[in-house]
Amino acid sequence: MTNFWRMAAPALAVALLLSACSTSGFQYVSSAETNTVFKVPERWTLFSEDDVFRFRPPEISPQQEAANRASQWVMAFDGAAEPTLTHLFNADSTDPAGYAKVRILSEEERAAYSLSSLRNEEFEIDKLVRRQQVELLSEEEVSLDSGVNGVHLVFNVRQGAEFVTVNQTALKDPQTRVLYLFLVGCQADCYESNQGTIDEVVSSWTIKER
Amino acid sequence: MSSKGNGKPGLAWPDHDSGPVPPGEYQSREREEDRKTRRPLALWDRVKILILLLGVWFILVWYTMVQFQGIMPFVDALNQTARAQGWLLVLAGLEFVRQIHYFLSERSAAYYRFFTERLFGGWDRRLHRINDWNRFRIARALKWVLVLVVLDLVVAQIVGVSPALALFQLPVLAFQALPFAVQLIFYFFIIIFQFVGLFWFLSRGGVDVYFPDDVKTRFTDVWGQDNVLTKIKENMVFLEDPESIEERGGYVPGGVLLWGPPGTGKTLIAEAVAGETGRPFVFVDPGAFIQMFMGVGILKVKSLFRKLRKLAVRYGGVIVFFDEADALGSRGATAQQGPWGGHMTEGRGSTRPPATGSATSPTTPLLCCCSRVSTRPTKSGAAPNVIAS
Repeated sequence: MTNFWRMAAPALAVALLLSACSTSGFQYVSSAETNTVFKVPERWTLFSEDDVFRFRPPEISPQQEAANRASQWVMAFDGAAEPTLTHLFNADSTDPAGYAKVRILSEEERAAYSLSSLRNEEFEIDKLVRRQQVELLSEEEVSLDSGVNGVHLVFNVRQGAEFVTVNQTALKDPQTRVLYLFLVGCQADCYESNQGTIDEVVSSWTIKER
Repeated sequence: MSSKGNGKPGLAWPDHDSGPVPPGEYQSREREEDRKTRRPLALWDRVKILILLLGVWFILVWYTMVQFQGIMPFVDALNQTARAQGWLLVLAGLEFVRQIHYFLSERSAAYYRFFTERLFGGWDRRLHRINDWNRFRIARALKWVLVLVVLDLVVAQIVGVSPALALFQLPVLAFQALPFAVQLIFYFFIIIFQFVGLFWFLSRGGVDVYFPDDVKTRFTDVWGQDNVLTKIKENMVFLEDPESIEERGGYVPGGVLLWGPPGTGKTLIAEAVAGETGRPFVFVDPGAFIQMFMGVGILKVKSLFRKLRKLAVRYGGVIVFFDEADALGSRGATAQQGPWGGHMTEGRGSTRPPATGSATSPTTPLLCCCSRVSTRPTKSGAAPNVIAS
């Protein structure tokens, strides 16, 4: 071994260890069963599937919950200093929050599922637009190489005197068997000030080819 | 070249009979138990386990990057792997501490003595009660276990199951990879078979076998070489019954060298020996071992001796006749250019030019080695023994 490498090897090892200590400030989420990945800032809090289901509305029966658990994967996140799932698309949410959800569609749903269904999966956008409770900011169709397709919307939802801006990506596989949903949102002002981060989080949402 | 060693003028060689003489400053290598400090490790031995762990870590980093392809930068993959695979850092840390311990043991006698005698002395003595071979086997088994554990942890991470389950997944994964492995082996052998076939084809020929009944020549057919024949008949005892010589503490030569100008009956004498002893007679052409491709000659020698062994076992012996054996003893340029031509270097073991001086002409003196291929080891060395001038 030359003298150069004698000196370079430890320096390289130290540099490697130091580089392992520094990060880009993101944490990564992956679901092996649904083949989806995304990233959120490190300071944001992640809520596991159990956390989300524990937070279920009282009207959902335990049987319904068991059925939901079997047919979907969900991971929520909140950027607030005191994170809670109640921040999701709430008028009080001053930090971005959202969730990723992958759901297997039932036989009945598959027969009638369309692009419009994707739009209205989480919020009844079309109805709310007619009632002027939702203001569409942007809308684009998405089509991936794998055949997964859907719609990407950014809209304002009126909640009392406040507007909540929501960034929603709703996709389905070519056979219309699986629905992929990714939503992030917060108060309109919060959205505006965090737009760069939110865009990065949304663009990281990846459905890998099987 | 000096004549140091044998005290004779001119070219001389080290006196190997009395053994090498160490120079004045020569220091014999210290025994392990006489050392006051640990023997210093080579650099590779110091870092090899750390490099192994680093390699495993990079495989996991690579896997993490593949998992989050396009969204995770390299530094994050390093970081994520370091956090998720803390065991690797722990192992690397332990290895680092071990190397520091070795480093101190190599420099401080007191430190080394404390560990080897006071702390682990009893353990070491107990361990040395185990037979050397068993200790080696235990160490080897432990190494295999370590490799399996590391492999298991890596597979567990990649497959996404617990290490215990991954242990059962290992054979399944190996089985899944089998078609690909078989495909690779198939391609490998396709290439190998071509060379094997080519070399087998080229290594044919140059060796003729005459079975005992084919050889009609007897000593009575040889005229005008009575003194040689007498010597040969003496040597027949060596070839026929080496045990009787060895029992008396004698040395049995493995063969006979017939040396002389062309046309003096060397081949005839060799045939006569074969005819008289009733053994198969194997005739080896002068150019049998000179080949266009390197390695074919060696293959031919190997295949010749395999054949000789078979014949010797079946007939209780065999006579092999190397025509122009001088071509066999030489190497490289000498082998190509003839026995004494080209750039002969004088040296121990080199063949000497014959007195006739007609070595490089087509009428090369015929050197004949008649060798009995023994079917059992003799004191004089491994069979077959060949005499050469």
